[in-house]
Amino acid sequence: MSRLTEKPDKHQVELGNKSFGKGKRWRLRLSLLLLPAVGMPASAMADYPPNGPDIPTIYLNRAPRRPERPPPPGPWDQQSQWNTEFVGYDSLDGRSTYQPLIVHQDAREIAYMAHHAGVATNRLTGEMEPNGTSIIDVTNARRPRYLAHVPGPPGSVDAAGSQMVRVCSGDVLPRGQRGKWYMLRTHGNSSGMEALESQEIFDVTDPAHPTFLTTVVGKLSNTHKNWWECDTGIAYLVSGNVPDSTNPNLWHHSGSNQHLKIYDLSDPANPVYIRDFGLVGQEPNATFYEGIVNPPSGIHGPISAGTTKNRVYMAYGVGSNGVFQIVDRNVLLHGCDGSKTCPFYPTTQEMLAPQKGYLTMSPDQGGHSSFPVFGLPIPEFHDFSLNRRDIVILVSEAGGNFCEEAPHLAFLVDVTNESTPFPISTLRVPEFPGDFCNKGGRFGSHAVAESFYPPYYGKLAIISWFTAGVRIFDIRDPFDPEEVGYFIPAPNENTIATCDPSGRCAIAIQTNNVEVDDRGLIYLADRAGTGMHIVKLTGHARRVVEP
Amino acid sequence: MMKVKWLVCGTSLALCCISDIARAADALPQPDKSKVAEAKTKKRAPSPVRINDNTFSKIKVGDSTGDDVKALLGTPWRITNYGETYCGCPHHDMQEIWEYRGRDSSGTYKYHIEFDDEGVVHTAKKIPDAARKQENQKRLAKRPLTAER
Repeated sequence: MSRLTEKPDKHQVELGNKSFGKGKRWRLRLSLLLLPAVGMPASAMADYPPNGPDIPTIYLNRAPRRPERPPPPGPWDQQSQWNTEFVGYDSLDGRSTYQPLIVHQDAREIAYMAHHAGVATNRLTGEMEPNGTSIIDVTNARRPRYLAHVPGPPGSVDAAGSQMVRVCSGDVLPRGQRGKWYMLRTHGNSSGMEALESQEIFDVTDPAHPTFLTTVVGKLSNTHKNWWECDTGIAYLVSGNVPDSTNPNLWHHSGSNQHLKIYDLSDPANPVYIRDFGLVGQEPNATFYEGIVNPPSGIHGPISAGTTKNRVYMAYGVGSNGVFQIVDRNVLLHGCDGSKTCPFYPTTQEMLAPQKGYLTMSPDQGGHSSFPVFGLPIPEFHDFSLNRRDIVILVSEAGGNFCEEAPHLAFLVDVTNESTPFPISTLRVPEFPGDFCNKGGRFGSHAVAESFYPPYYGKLAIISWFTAGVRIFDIRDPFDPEEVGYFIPAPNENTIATCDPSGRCAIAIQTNNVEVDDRGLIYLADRAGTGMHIVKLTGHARRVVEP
Repeated sequence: MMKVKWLVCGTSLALCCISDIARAADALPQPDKSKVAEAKTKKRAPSPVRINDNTFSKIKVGDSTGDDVKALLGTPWRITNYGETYCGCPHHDMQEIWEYRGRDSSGTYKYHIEFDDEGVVHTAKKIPDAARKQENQKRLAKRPLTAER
């Protein structure tokens, strides 16, 4: 039995260390081809967060470890790949892109691509439009079809952009309209002085013709990486408040001016406010704080593990002074029930009540995203009590061009004992080979794919690494993860140059965020306007996830 | 039962052939011609502004404003602002970037202009497009294109 394989299980396929014969290759190829054509039933993905309460059970196969080392990438201006293969592409009209989201929507695969601020020409209308949300039919991943661009806010460019997007089905939302699809997105992102920013909802039932439904909340600043539980409707909205004469005493932050505003969007047309939340020390009348700095760093993005696990994982600090926090979801959502002050002016006790544990990171690392992996079988521990562990993939965001700051990394944190989260390994991409610092743009970790896609869950960590593209790590042994694949797109005529303060400029792709669809395809969004690349796993990276 | 097996095999073979043909065509990102045609039937996108180096040289770093740039070069082809004031990232990465496209005998390029907080130009560069550099690179050295093993 492989070192990585737990006790035999009826769900496991006996692959051993054998290489695939022709027959197996045939079957794999056939299933790969048929999946896009037939499509996976919506219900197959409906049970996992954010669409449901179940967490995929991890069954490891016996694919061997360490069969190969990462090869050096090719020249800077050419595509490089290792255990991945290019499948499809869309230019996204050259718009700088932050978050990709791929939804199995009415027998189609629809990509929602959320853009940074800017202005570019919509190919469908010929009009210059403020960057908002691009919607693309990727059912045929080799030939994506651009359906629509939902413009972002007009006016000052530095207050614009719609960086974040989430989509839920009306069939899954408790009080959604059956047959409808809803898109939640941020509207604007800036210093917030003009209080133009908001969180808003569109009806995207016909993704080629989205229609505005409602504004969840306005007068915000610094909107960012939201999470929306489709099966309950609870939305964790990242933003800050803008002080005004009626409300001067607001939440406090260092670095990132963000905390959570929690809403019940189970009926998307009628949002219901629940409470604000963050790290203790951020609340308006704070007397106590946790973490390195006071006030504590703002939150970047929460991930809810839903009702079954009853946990929300929160990463604070973005790229420095990071704190990672584990929160009891029920206490978070109901801790202010019946109180008029708790939702916006909580006491220290009310802030601490939902907290199950937290971890203070090194000051040069921040919390960008924290993705939970529950029940990972641990090799060599199978006879002992902690033979399955809960792990969190915790990622810090690189923020400086041309490596003008310390490298940023991702970490595997053991959260089995929630009160004492403990980092057990590091995911790292070295500067060489590749000379990634001198390519221009940012080099370092940014975000982990947040999809609970069962075949990859607990086996792969798929992380965007800016100039180093997407990096794929085998985490089956979380004490000793290893890189098993990468894909670095080539820059093209749309790629935005990066210039440093001295005027040195360079053209480089910057893979910003990555996501997975329910066929296992990986989508890369480019910060530098290079577009959307769709890739698939091959070679050893694919063997890691095969049943 | 045998007929079903043969049917499955035949379908698989046909799909594999289609897949291989499609794969060969997808070696590099290509514009989708159907989308180009679709766009043409609607409203035509504005043509790139014709700018020469002489006009571009009139933009003065540390002096010219957005209005000055527009008066000289017209509306930019693209504007970008990463807008990440939230992240504590270096501030100079959050300024407005204006780009204008052009073409000369060597190929396509962009005029790249960045502004500071006061809206004054702090960087103005003519930068050959990556695709053009890529073509030159291919001419100079026919090395393997990927690191795939």
